[in-house]
Amino acid sequence: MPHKKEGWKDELYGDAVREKLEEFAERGWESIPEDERDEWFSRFKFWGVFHHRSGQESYFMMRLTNCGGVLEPGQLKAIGEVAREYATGPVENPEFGDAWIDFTTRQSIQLHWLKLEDVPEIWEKLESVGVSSRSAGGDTMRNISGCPVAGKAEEYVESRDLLDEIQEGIRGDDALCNMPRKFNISVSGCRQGCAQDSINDIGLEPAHTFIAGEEVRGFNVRVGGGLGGREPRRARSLDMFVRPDQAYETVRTFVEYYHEAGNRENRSKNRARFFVDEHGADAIREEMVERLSFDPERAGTDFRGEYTYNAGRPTEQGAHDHVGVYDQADDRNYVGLSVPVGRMPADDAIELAELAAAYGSGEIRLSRRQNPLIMDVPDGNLSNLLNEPLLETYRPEPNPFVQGAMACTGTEFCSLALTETKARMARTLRWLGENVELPEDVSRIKMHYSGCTADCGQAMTADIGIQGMRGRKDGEMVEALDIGVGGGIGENPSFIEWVRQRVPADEVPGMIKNLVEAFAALREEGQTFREWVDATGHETIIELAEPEEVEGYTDPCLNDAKQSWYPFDEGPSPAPTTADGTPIGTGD
Amino acid sequence: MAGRVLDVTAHTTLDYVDGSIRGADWREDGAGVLDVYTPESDPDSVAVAFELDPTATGRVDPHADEVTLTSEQARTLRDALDEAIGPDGSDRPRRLRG
Repeated sequence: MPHKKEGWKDELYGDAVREKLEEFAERGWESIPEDERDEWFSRFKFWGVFHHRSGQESYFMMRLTNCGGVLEPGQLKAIGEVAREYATGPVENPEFGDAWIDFTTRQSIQLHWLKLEDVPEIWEKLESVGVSSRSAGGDTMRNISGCPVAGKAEEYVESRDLLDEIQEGIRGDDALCNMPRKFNISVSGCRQGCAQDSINDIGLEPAHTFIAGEEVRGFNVRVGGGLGGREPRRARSLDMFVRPDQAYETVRTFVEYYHEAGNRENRSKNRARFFVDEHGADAIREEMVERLSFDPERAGTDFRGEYTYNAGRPTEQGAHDHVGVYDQADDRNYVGLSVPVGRMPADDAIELAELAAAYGSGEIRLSRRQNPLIMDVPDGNLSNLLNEPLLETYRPEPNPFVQGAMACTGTEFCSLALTETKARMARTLRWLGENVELPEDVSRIKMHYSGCTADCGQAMTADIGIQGMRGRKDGEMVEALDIGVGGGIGENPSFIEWVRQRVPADEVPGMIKNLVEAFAALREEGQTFREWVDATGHETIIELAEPEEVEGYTDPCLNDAKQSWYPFDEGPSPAPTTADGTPIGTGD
Repeated sequence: MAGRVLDVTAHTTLDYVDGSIRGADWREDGAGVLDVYTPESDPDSVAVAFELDPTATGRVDPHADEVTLTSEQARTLRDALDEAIGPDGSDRPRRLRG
């Protein structure tokens, strides 16, 4: 029997949802019938509009879309201005204040605390500079991810035009809007592997092969990768090589196949990675060959052995994450900043956009590690740009902990999460930066923090992966964390192994310090954290990772285990509220 | 060490319970997760699953135990739990009192 969400989608989905959303916005929050909220909120997601969790009724998050992380000149400024005006909540965040934007792990941006009534105006402002929120959520194709410097830096196969074609022709096709489940596409043209093809539903990775005695560049095709639901899968090879001019058709064919044949009944087992489990790569290849208008080659030689992006390799082997100053192919430069946990106040975002326009072309790109890149900076402008005060805050050469950090949304807004994430991670990063000495050649320790086992923060592929749990301390329930080590992508993607579970959150910075200092003392010259973990016995790592309370670290919400309406406020929730934030009375 | 078998999110019924696994002459105690849910593949049934934290035992491979109940069995279980909690408002398990 099809899942009930399939019924909702059959009735109305895709582009048609927008008109209904605008009608509700016009008539106000209370016009959405209470018994229809689940249904409408589910549909709104297609347009990137997500209702906040329980306790925060009538507030919404908006996820914006782009393709491969490209923000054209003027777009970030408009987004920052919208955030400053509309993304203001009833309570400030202790680390980030009020009105900020979140950079996401899929090269996107999210705005919180929006009122439904403001959404049409927000769309108008954003769309006037070409920013959309269409197809940002729900059972749709999400941001097509690519190397964030595609078209700007050296690529083995040029991918920027292909990314745009996929965006326009496949993701933009309303006939394909209703997928069985969310669907991720990625294309890498570079040899660093930074679109992380191995964790996408379909990923194209650069490769070459001989055809009729000639060397041909193109892509190998992998399908069925993903991290969530405690059932992570590396994307599997279809043993298929396609030329760049065949790539669009190949992606479209797999999207159509899954759209048509994917499971629409059991939502816990219907991501494309399970589709691949069920049918097997060989059968999928056969079906694809049947459907394609050309006869694809067998897989060519790839460059996975060279991948450096989040591969746990020494820094000198290549760029891990685009943080820093790098050459573009046209002799200009790009400057990758580091934004701890991806959150930036709106005023800073506006200033960043202005700096990008003053020193570069105005274009900004977003990486998959929650960071922005200022593009097209001529050599002559570099030193002045690097001297700007904003770059002191979001340094291109941050401390190794900051550079490697990511965190999901957490209990602040997510209804699934068990713990707060971003403020805790920001404090932990600051404390570690001030209190832990690392050898100079260790430029990154990648810590990824997810608020629950759904793992939206990609804990499974971190040097140090963290997932939210519940624990007990001094007889009280507290926010606690499961911690594992040794994950990464690169040539041989691997997932973390768990070291300790239910560690009270205030003992985690001390635990990480103990573990990382042991790494610094015991590593061989040049060894990365991931390599050291591989070379060290697991029991030894468990012993070294001793949890400990430490001076100077106060956890932002250790005792929010009971889950208040907002982790940083002890009072009653004002929600739901009217368009101007006034609490809506219960009528008594 | 393997990860958790059960999903643990804000939707999980009990994300922290004291539990144990027992053999004929051994016993290991620890924290665990208890979840009650309706399997999507069998919407007419109720599943009750328990997993002791993988870190709590080295004796058995990490795993979850699960029972699948009919609605009637679920009601019987509910009644037994209600009865065990006791009707006097003390919230103390009646069956444990002497």
